[in-house]
Amino acid sequence: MKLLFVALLAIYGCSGDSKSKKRDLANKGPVSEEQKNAGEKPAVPEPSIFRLAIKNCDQLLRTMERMTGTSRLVAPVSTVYDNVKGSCPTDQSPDSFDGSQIVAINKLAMAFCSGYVTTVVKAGQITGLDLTKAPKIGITDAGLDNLYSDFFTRFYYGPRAGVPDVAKIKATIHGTLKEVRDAATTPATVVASEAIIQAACGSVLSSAPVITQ
Amino acid sequence: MKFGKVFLFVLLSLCLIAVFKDYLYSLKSQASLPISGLSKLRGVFMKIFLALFVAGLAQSASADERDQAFRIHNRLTCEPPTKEVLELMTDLIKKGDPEGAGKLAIKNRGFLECSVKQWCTVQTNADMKFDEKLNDYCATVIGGVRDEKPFGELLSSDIIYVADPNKYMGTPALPPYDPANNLHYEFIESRGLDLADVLIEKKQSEISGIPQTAGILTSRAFAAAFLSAGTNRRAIRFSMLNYLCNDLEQMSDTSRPDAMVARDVERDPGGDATTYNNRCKGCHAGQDFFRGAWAFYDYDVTAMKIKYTPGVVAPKYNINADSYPTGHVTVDDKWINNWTVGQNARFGWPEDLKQGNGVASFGQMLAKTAGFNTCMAKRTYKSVCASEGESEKEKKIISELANDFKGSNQNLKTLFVKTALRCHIGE
Repeated sequence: MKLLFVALLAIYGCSGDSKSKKRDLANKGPVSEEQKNAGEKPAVPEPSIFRLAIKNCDQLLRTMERMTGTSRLVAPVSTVYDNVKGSCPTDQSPDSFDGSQIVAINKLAMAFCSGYVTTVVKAGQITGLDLTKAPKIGITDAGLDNLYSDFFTRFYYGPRAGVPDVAKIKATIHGTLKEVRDAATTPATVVASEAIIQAACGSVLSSAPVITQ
Repeated sequence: MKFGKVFLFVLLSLCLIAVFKDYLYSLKSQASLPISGLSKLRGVFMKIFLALFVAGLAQSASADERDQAFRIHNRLTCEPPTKEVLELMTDLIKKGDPEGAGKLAIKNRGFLECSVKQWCTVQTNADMKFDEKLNDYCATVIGGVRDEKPFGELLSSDIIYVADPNKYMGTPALPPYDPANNLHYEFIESRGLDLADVLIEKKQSEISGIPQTAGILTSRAFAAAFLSAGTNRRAIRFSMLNYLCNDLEQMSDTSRPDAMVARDVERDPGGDATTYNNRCKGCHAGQDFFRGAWAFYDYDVTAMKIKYTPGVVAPKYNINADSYPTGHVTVDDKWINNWTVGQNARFGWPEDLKQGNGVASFGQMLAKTAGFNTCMAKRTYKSVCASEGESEKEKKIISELANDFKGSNQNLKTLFVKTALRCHIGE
């Protein structure tokens, strides 16, 4: 886990650096002869008007409602929202995003995913997942593949420019979730199957739609 | 910025552990997952969240038409589009009609009920919170945007939007509009009624009991926030903030005459007249000249409604007369713009409306000020582009958007669409 964290941090740090450098270069444009001759530094580049933003709760409620098909106006979502409303993000800047906001968003996502599990997974829309059975039997490899595909088309709108490399992330998740599924054996229960799927959904849902541009 | 993101990353890791710890304990009580399974489950959720969230943070500025369509919709309506709308918007952008794509996006309910609602809600409370309940001020703004009313008219017209009772037949019944509470609007929102469908325009004077109205400036929400208690100076301060995007501190000009500064303002606070001359006067010399506009209005905190006394100045205007007995006494609802000269001339006040009587003319004056157009563009830019618009490049864009807004007869709906195109396509 620690290795993963360090790796992600390093990857992110590097990619963030190179991206920002590229953007800086793009914004600066060529250095004029006049500037070169005068030995002046190029003018400070104008920042791009491209912005990342954290969604606030009203935006998240609507977004998660759209993505999961679960109404934001009824329980459990409405109940959870009433409880976490005070911890919702109020500033769009990613720099001000804090722990209590993450917790609030995650709780909301879990509530929406409760509806997702009922209306999508239990309704048999994900082939290969049978939540009436224990994890090892009810959650098949093919079922997990289908689940991720559904997450990414539903929550990320399929492959789009500027969104994560879905295939790579998916491969990482798949292996680990399989291990979790296989660990839930003694004695395995039906509740565990549902909980695993709901929590996996909540994890993706609480991260995927939070950022917008 | 980089430090901020790294810090955020570390914070996320720590917090997610806490979130899932609670969840997994409850899970363990229901499902007999072994401890090793629990820790792995936590691990997978951490990985999912972190990988996706970090990937999201690293999103690049580059975008194809589909991504542009997605972003525009997200920004204009608070939510992503349906698959069908996304495809249609993408096609429109590819065909060189991004404005058509934007217009398609704003057909989504989220435009009025989330984006416009949040845009106006900050104008209805002193804390400038965007997540307050729907009220008469915002319903009127939302209705006005839907009907493409010149936005400035909402500051002076005899207008209000309420829900059409014929559009909702459910149980419990829709509470009627009541100038003494907000139940009507709270009901509309809590029931998830379609504002684009249910709102209808009414004459505010006919349903509020106030004969002299000025749209959102005499709405209950405005009065509750800015006319309750105090001296009605708050109404002036927030009018400047809401419609000119400047607080009084930024407008302070001690060079202006102070003939209409009221008696409750000490001219030598703490025994030092220079404090008044160098500080207090700067704001009061503008604020107190405007203040007469609301002279016949007060907000009754017991009845929870506007108290309108035609021809009779609210007592709060002339309180604490001992502070400076020779100061200005308000006797009517006359207001004068004392800032047309001096540093505040930069706002581009209307030449033909430098003084007036009552709130409606004051609202007209604001709406005809060049700074009003700029402020609306700036507010919309912040809402749609997630930026304060402080860079030179952004200031130029905002200035152009302000001109467009003026040219479109102050059509806020068009302003939202054009703003989204500017920051997501560069049109």
